[in-house]
Amino acid sequence: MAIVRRADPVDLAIATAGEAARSARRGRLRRWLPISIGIVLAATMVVVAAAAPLIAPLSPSAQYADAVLKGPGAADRHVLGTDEFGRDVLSRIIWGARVSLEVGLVSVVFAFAVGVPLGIVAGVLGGRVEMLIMRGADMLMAFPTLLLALIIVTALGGSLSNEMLAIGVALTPNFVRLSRSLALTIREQDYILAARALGSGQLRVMARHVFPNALYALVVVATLYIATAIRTEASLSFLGLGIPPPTPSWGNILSEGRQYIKCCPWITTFSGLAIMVAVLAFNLVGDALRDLLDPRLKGE
Amino acid sequence: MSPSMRISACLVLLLTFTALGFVATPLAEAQKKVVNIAAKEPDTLDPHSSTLGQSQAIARFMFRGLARFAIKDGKVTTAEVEPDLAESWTLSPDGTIWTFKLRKGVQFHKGYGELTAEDVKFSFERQINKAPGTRYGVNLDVIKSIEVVNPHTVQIALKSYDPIFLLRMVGYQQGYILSKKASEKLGDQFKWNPVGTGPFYFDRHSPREKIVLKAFDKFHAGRPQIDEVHWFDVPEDATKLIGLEKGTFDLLYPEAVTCDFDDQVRKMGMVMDRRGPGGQERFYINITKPPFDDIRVRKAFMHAIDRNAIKETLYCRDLAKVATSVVPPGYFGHIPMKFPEYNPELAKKLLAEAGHPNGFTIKNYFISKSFFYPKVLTLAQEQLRKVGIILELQVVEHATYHENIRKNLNPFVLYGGTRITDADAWLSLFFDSKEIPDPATGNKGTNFSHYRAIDDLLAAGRVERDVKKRAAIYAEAQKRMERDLVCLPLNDVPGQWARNPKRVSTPFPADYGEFSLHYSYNYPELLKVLN
Repeated sequence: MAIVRRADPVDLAIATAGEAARSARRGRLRRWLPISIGIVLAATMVVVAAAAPLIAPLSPSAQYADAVLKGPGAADRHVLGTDEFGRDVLSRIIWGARVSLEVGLVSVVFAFAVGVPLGIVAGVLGGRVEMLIMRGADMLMAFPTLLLALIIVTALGGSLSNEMLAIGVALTPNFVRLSRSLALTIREQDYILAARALGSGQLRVMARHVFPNALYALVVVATLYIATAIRTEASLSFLGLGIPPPTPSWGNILSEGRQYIKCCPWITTFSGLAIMVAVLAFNLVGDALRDLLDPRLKGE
Repeated sequence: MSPSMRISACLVLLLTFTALGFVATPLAEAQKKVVNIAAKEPDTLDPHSSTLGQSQAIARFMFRGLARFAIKDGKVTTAEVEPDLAESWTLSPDGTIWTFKLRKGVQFHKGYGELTAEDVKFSFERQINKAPGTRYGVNLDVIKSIEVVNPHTVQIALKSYDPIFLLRMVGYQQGYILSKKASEKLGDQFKWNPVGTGPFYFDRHSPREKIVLKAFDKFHAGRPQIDEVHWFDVPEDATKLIGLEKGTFDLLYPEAVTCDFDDQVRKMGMVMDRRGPGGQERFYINITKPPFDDIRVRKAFMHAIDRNAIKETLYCRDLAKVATSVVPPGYFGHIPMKFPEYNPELAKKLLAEAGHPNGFTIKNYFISKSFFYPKVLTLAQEQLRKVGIILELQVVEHATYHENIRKNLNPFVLYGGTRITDADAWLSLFFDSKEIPDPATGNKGTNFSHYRAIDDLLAAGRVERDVKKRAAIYAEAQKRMERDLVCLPLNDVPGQWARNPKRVSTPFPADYGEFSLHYSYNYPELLKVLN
């Protein structure tokens, strides 16, 4: 026997104007809260990195033989404690933000600058050029980002510039693929046809019409890849293939603290938290930007 | 009995036997006395071929020499030796011919037969002839010829009298005797199929996991109480400590015993087996490489290094001592030396005088990522930065580091080691001009200072039979090195392993009950599994 549920009067009630306003506020809050948190965290990180010499309480490489492996607050001046050489963990994390941001931004800019033009050329021109570019990108994509970066850093040696280059190269095929797929869609649009009819050459079409129309999606993805780059940098440093000592990076602080995880967990905890917050910040910003800019998600 | 009852009875019996079969094997396994060791994986099991600590430590479980370090008053000393594979020995009146009578009935592992004089001759000659991979031929350079008198007598003629020849014959590095038959039969495979006469024989190797050694029933001093030794490859000290606490491991061979490591071991109720004379960590300064060819720069370097801070940061309490000489205490010939005190201002002044008022930068300075190397160098790097000497580090694998320092890529070299406890052996390996590493000739020696000023003293010391005169010769050598500022010794660090005393016992006191060199346990056959 079929079960029939009768509608309650409540179900049929028409929302009042006040409820609609509250619902709209909740909707706005849901939409803007993550992006606000993300922007605040990312901005804080940028400020901390830029002002590291001013706000770090001590030099990140200064060693205090009388304060080795002291916990947070256990020794004067060391708010987050010290590491195995008596170096201030807080100062190292503050200075480490510079490395993480530098690597995150520069490697993504590199990948963007190399990958996007190649992807657009492949998408617009098609044919052999497309095949050549895309097979190259496929080859690079066959390796996971971390593995590819690891191979490049091992070959070139560990340094800040090599690390940026390695992560940049590892991220490039992602931008190639995305920009090509965007270009494939955009080139079929009427305004492209109109531009061609008006005599625009391939280069002009790509630069003036395809690129600007693909930009919003690319910026969203680039923001998300900053988080990936920060994670990859931390992983490389953790594996001992990142920036050589004594320059602090969150990954090498984590790696050095690993052997003291039982007695002195503050070293790994605070550096791990820094990585987590940074990745979260850029992921939130990226997600929110996508929600804001993607026309398909408009009105959701 | 009805047929169904008979079938039931048969089934019950069958099940009982099956169950017993399943239970019997694990019971036998459980009764085995197994010692689980956490250390790094050796790079080879050929005892003549590796300078790595873990390779030398495991070699002592499988190999023996003609002599061994003596047990005196319940402790092991590295100053005196007693017969081991040899039963006795005599020295000719002119001091150049040693005759060793071998112990009869000593068996090699895996049925390779009885030890004979041929095996002794083979073991030394392969090193003297620099067989591929062998590293200790230099310690046997004094040998002119080896003659097999009969299967149990071997005569070794020396080029000249050698006051420490018996120390060279101890089962350690060049002194190990291996099976000629096995070595010739196995060729390159010998390094992972070693055959010696020690208390344990090699059973199997699972790369990057563990090496299993088993008790040798025919060991000449009697079968060890332990049935099996499982040598696990555990690179991280933190992982080793967790394993010790959980009972996974009974003995730990740490990378570096820092204050934190020592504290954790003691908190767990475990013990540190501490042994002298241990190793010495030191900086060799390449006196041929600018700017260190200028003695003022070398002096500035030494004034810039705060040795006390390095010791206190890494090895608090009595975990190490600030080194007092390039020849460590406990080695024959040691005298205290004076080194430039920590004084960064004076260092800056000296650098300015030498034409480096703003200091200088050393690019691509290589450093190993293992053991104490990165720790000591991180401390020194900051101290040198304060006087303007900037080190741009390249952190590399330990093997690569060894390779690069022998290519003279570092203008000063951090190195640690332990050798036969006599100034002759020590200084000959580290400061004799024959040991200057040279990629062009393939010389992989360890005179990283490229020092040549004590060759005459070393030559004189090798033929001197008077103990006091020998001591005076080495005192003079140390004074010359003090004058020339070629090496800055940092810390004298004892050899240390962590042990679970509820699981494994040793007959020697934990605190300096044994003196040993690279291997931690001179007498692994005396270790016992408890419970």
